[in-house]
Amino acid sequence: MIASPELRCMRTMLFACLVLLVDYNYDALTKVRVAVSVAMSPVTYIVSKPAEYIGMIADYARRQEDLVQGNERLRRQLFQAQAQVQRFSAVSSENKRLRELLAAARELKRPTQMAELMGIDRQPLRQQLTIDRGVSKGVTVGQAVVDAYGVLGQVVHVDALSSKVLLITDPSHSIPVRVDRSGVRMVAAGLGGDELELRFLPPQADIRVGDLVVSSGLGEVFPASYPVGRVSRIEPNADGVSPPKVYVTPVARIDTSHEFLLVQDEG
Amino acid sequence: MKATPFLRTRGAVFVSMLVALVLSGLPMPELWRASQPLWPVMVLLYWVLAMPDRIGYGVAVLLGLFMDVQQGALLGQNVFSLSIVVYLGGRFYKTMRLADLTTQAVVSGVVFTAYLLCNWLVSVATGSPPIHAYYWLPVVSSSALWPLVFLLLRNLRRRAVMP
Repeated sequence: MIASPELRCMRTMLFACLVLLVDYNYDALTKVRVAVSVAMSPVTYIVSKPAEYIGMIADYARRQEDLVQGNERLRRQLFQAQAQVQRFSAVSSENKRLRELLAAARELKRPTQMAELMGIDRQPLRQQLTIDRGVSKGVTVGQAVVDAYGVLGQVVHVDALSSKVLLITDPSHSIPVRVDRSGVRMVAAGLGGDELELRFLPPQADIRVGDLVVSSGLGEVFPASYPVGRVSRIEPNADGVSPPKVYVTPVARIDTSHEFLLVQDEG
Repeated sequence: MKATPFLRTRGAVFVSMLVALVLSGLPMPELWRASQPLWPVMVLLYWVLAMPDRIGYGVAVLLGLFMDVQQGALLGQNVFSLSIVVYLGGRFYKTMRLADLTTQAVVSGVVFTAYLLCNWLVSVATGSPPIHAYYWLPVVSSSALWPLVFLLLRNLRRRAVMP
């Protein structure tokens, strides 16, 4: 006798439910499970092979992606680091300049005030700087301005927040100086260019090319014995009687200094 | 021993089910796995439709146990669900043989739905119901791939019978 399709289906389902119940409630079927899984081991093995390959490929792709991301990240970091290094070198050179200025300030033995460059105006007829200190910081007309290397000029005009500095190279500016080596006193006048000319030389003045010229302190505007320049050339006068023309190059770094010292008046 | 058509057909059934188990065991990304066709169910359905008097509940029980172990399900869960496949296959095989591929795909979709429904019932009864709607995705993918599987297996069967 052949059972109806429905009956056969029910029979199988009933069997399945029985197995389910036993497996759900007891551990009795562990052996069956193990046996089935042993029988299935070829399938598991075959499955594991491409799985390994796929895993390898996935691994490879992931590593590739990691590398790309890592590369990108490192590139960004490098960029930031480079920017920082630039900043560091700027800060370090600024630090160096400030230290030199600080040493100069100590050397001056007068109260000083720091100022920074705001603008520069160098023409044959006018040689001026603008600095970022004005009335509000107590700047007064006539204060001497120096950098870490030498005398720059003096304040001629004070605004609320800035001041104009007449440079020693201005054609209308003169500064009393002496030659450091021999002590000969004279006046250095600006020429409107990169040089100053020594005037009122005594006869037979002892001056050689390379001599350091310092401020004499006469006139009480500039601090005494602060470097002004070095003798760059000496031109004998054509008539052979008048004193030679002596030119001095400033030691102050007029074109490159960024920070300056305002020297308080002595009085 | 000479390989008779009978033995070769058995071999074809065995090999196709093995391949189906391998396919369903392949590791896949999450969404792919969720929408993976029910390969073993499709293969079983084909053989039931092709040889309803030879492929029946015995094969379903064996295949079901294998699937249970492979899926880590309770033993019997797939046996339960596959028996409905065998039943429906035995019911519909005459219609299916005459139907075109599109109709076959639709009817097979009903079978796959019944299979998943039975699976779902067992899951609910044992306290671990699948919560995601993705659970039903395989019905779509299996029906869509049914014509392909059907043609492939028919080819295989014909070669087994008449090399």
